[in-house]
Amino acid sequence: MSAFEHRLSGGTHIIAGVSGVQMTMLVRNRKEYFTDFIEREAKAKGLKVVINGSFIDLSFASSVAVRARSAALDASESTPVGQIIQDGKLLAGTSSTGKFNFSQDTCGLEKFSASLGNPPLSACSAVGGIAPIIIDGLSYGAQNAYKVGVPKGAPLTGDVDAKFKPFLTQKSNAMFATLLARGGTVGKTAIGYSNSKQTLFILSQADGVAGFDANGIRTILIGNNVSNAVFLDCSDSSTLYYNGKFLVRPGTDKNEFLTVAVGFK
Amino acid sequence: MISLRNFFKYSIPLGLLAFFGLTMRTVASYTDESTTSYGFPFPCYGLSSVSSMAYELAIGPFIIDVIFYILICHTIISLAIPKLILSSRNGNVVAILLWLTGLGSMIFMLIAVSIDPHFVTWKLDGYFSENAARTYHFHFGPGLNR
Repeated sequence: MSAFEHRLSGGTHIIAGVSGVQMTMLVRNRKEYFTDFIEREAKAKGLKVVINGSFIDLSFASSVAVRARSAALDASESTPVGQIIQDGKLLAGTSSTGKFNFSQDTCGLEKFSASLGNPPLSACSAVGGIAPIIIDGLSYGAQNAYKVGVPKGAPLTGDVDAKFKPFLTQKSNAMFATLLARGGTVGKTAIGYSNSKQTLFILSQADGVAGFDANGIRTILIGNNVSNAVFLDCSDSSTLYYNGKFLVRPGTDKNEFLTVAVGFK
Repeated sequence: MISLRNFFKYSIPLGLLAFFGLTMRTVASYTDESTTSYGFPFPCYGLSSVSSMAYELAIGPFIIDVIFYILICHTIISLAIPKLILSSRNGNVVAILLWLTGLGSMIFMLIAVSIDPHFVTWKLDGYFSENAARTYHFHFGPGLNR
C-alpha cells in the first residue's frame, strides 16, 4: 500500500511517495474545467495526488475564445504536446522527439525513469514533451558545465562534442533556461524518482508565490538523491490536488483548456 | 507623395494588417532543441517553453517591427496605389475597411498571445548562441505555433 507525505518548503509543496506508487495518465475528453475533471477522476480512480501534465497547444481561434469568454473549452480543441501513454496505448498527444519524457515502465512496479524523446509505447504510463532536470543522474541547467581540465572550445550551451563529453557535469537545456530566467515566483510542477531511496517526489509551486527558482528545485531533488526528474507544464498551469483538495490551482484561462493530468495512488 | 492625413488614413491600418498577415519565422536550433520566433525585421514574439500557450514578447523589436511595416506600407501606397482609390468617397470606404481589419487583426492577435505573456526588453532566444543554426522563412498569418 503506497504512502504519501506532504510538506511545504519555501512556497513549494513537496510530496514524497513510497511503497508501490502507481502513476496514471488522465486525459480530459469532456467540456469541463480542468479542476472539475481532476476532482472527478481522483474520486473515481482513488488517486491521492494529481498534478497537471503535458503542454497544450491551441488554435488561434481557441486562444481568442479562451481569453474572450469564461467557459471550459471543448477537449477536442486542446492539443497535447508530447505523447501520453497509458497501459501501453497512446492516449493522446503529438510526437515530440527533441523533448523529454517521464514514465513508469511496468504497472505495479515502483520504478520511474526519464529520457530524451518520445516515451516508450509499451510503458504502463508516461508523459512526453517535457523539460529535463536530472536524467540518469546528469543534471540539466541553463548552461553546460564541465569538470576541471576540459579542452578549450567547450560550448556553454547546446550540442556537446564527444571530446568534451567525459568532462560534462551539467547539460544545458532551452526549456530549463527559459524557466530559470523567470525566477522564483513563476509556478512550477516537477516530478522525480530516487532509485536509491525508492521514493517518488512531486513538487508544485503556485504561480506568483515566492519560491525556489529552477536551480533551487533541482537542488532539492539532488539533495534527495533523485536520479531522474522533469519539469511539467509550469507557470500558471501548475496544479496540485492532494488528499481531496487543491493546494495549487491553475490560472483562470488555463483551467478552461488544460487537458492532461498525472495521477498517483 | 500622399499627405500626412492619408498616412493616418491608409498607411497605419495597412501596416497593422500586414504585420498580422505576413511575417518572418525564425527557427534557432541545436541538434535536439529549437525555438521558433516571429517578426520582421527583428523576431519580436514566440511561444515560450515555460508553459502552455505562454508567449514571450520583446517590446523593443515589436515597436520597431510595427513602425517598419507602417513605413513600408506608406511607401508602397505612395508609389503604387492609384489616386482614384485614395480620393473622395472611395478613399473613405477603403480607409474604414482598412482600419476595421487592421486594428481588428492586431487586437485579436494581442488577445491570443495574452493567455500567459512574459515581456522582455529585446532578445527572445538568448539561450541559443551564435553557433546555433538559424533558418528564416516567410510565414502567412499570425505566428502562433511552436
